Amino acid sequence: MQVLDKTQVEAISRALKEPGWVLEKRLKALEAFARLPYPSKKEEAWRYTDLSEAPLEQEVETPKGRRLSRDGLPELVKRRLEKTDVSGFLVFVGPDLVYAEVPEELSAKGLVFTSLAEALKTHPGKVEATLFRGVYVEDKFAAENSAFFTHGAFLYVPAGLEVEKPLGVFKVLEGGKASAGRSLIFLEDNAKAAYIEEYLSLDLPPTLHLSATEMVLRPGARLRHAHVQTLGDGVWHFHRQRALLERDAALNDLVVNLGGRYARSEVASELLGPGAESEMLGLYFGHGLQHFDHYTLQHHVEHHTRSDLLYKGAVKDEARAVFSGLIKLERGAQKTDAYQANRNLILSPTARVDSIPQLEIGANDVRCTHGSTTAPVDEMQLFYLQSRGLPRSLAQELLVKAHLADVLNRIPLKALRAHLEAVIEEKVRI
Amino acid sequence: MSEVDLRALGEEYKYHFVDEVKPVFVAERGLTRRVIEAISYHKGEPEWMLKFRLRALEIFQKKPMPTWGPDLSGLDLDNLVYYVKPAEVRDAKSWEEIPEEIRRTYERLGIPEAERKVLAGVGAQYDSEMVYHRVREELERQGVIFVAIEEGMKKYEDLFKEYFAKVVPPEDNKFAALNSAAWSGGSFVYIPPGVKVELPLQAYFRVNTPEFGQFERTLIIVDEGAEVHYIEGCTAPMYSTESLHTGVIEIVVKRGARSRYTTIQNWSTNMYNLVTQRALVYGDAFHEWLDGNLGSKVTMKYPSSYLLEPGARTEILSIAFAKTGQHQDTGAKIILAAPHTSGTIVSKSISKGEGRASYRGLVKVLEGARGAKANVECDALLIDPESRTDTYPYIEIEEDTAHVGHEATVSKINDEQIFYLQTRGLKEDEAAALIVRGFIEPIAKELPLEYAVELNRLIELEMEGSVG
Repeated sequence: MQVLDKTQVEAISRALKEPGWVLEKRLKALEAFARLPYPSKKEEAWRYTDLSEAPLEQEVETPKGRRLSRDGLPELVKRRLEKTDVSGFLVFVGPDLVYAEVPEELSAKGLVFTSLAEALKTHPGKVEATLFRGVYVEDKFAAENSAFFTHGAFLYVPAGLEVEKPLGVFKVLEGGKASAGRSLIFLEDNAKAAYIEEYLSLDLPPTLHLSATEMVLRPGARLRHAHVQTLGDGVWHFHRQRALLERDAALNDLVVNLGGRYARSEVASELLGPGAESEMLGLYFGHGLQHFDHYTLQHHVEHHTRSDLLYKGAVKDEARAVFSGLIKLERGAQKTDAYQANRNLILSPTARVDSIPQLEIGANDVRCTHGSTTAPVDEMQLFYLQSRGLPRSLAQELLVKAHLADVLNRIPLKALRAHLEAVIEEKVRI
Repeated sequence: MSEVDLRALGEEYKYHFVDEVKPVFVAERGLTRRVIEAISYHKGEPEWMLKFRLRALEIFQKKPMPTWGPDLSGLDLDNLVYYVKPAEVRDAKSWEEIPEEIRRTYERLGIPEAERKVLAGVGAQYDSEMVYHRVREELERQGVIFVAIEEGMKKYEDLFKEYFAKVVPPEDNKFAALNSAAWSGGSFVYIPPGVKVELPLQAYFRVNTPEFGQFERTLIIVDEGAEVHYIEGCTAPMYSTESLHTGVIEIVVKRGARSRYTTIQNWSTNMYNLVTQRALVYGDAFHEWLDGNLGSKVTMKYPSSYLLEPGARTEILSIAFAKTGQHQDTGAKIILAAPHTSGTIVSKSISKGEGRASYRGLVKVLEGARGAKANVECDALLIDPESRTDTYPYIEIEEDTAHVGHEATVSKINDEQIFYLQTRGLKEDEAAALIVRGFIEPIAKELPLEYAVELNRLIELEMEGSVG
């Protein structure tokens, strides 16, 4: 039985009561999805990835329109809500937006924070101007998301509005069926916001999860974005995000992979106007059979732009981590400042790291450097800590945490940092 | 050298001159079974080699062109001449035996003079064949072998068979297969255990026929505790049509041995230079690659060292200069396959005009290579706004006790440094040339003197009038 077909796309679009142009875009994406083969190891961007056990072609879940009370939310979310400092948040369970809390005062100032389906009804112009601009049919999985996504979050911040406290999206994955969702973030001139998307689940049977995040930053806009997945075992998580930064816009980005069976993050920043700046942080820690892929792009299209990337991670047991990053400077991108660093700790003889920090430089008056290191925990440091009375295992845990702390320390979101520290703490002891 | 001479050098490619040589045999165009059989016939080869060539031809025909790297669309493999026998003489022991026109070429290139002064042995290849090979007598007495690869195959068949195509099998890549099918010329070198060859051995490659493919094949065996330095130099006249140089270099460095392989290619800028160079390095041995890429239209060359036993070490120094119309896609590979092996890669590139220099490399640490260490440093200098550089370093680590680092920087010539040198009385382009020379100094100082001088001269000329 063919499940990923036109009938399914139309059913989703109908269930969400979408306008005709969205269905059209979905059907075009479906064509691309049908045409593109699944990636194989023969392709450069997939050479380290084994998808033979991935639940590809899994049937997509259907929206049911459920709503829940705050007390009725899944335990996983409730526990997170106790410790978060987000001022407003959306909760998705599977494809349904089950609960939303958005401060009145922000809505009164013109901020929109709601589901994509809802925004298509209330603010169709804003969505139409931005949806699919960042992620559409770049590869098989992007096309699958664009054709079959069942839910999404939309954040719009009007010109000049500065939102200090972060806004959050919590998504709980139910499992067994494929789940495809999106985030669309649109900041007008000189707007400022922080957006955290968190993906949670218990251990699940093999489940395909597709997520896409599009960020459109108009001149002078400032966005702090965090994509955090602490999914359960069994989940195959394919995430793609792309930020479009106009003149003087600034993005502080964080991608965290701690959960799932397999997680892939394709993270791109397009610096389209002079003065644009992108900080890109990544954090990952794999155990068991986990495999994390990170493909990053710092694309400097215009002159006087800056990017600074730091991806740090550790692998133990039989886990694998891949980092493949590219700094690309177009011909006119003079006076660019671009930096890229990947640092890995490898903690077991059967763990594996692949790192490919790449440069493609088409302008000469620039400063571009990159570096990559992979090593075990430093013996001298271990010895020192042992000499201070720490048992070796504890010293090792401490040094792993210290390694990852370099990234954590650059995140001013205190509650999120504390949460990540707690998850890492748990993982070092597994 | 006087000022006038320097200018003459800069205006056109120094090795531009076309030699008036009439070859004794020229194969028909294209690579066919018939051409392979003709090559084999002219060499009077044993049956097994013909079989090997034909098997390689099949592999070559099956393998697709690389889908990555530089643009090879200008390369018309069906229109090339794959074999040109320049003269009846092969592997002459004295320059007098070589036809005068060919001898004159090498005299113009200064080879016989260098042989007398600074080399332990010289080999010279003209189009498809080695016309000259000689090693100093005292080395010959110690058992050092330095002959054309064809002589190696015939005279030392057992030794040859043990290693030939074992380091780089024809299946390795499309161009290794091409070379395996059409190979002609190159050196066979054997250094017996414990023999240290103090002065370098040098092979000199010259291409004279237009639309020609040169398929040099070199096999070097450095036995236990022995030492050798092998230098390869390449030039060709400039024709309006494209030529191809596809070499395969196989090196075996046995326990405790040391070897260094230096290539300085200054091919004319219509040459596709697609070369596979690989060394197997055994216990406590040390192998160095020194790779200079100044000429050619497109070069794809990634010398690699396989560190197979504990204590094996390698160092790869690479320098590339890419001008408008040139793409230097070069780099290095180190495979660390045993405990306590270590390797270093230092790569420097300069892109000028619309030239493009790419570093492509691999450091791979296999599981069980305990305590393996590798470090990579890539620096790129961009002279003009149109210049381009890329870095594609692959780092693959399967071992938890390995230490691997990679660093790369891209920069232009620093304005403040130029200004400072100008205040000291240098002209702007002189200052720029000085800074570029400083940039490549760590590698240039490792070069044999005449090449270092050559490189410096080249930079001076290239930088002339390039700033301001």
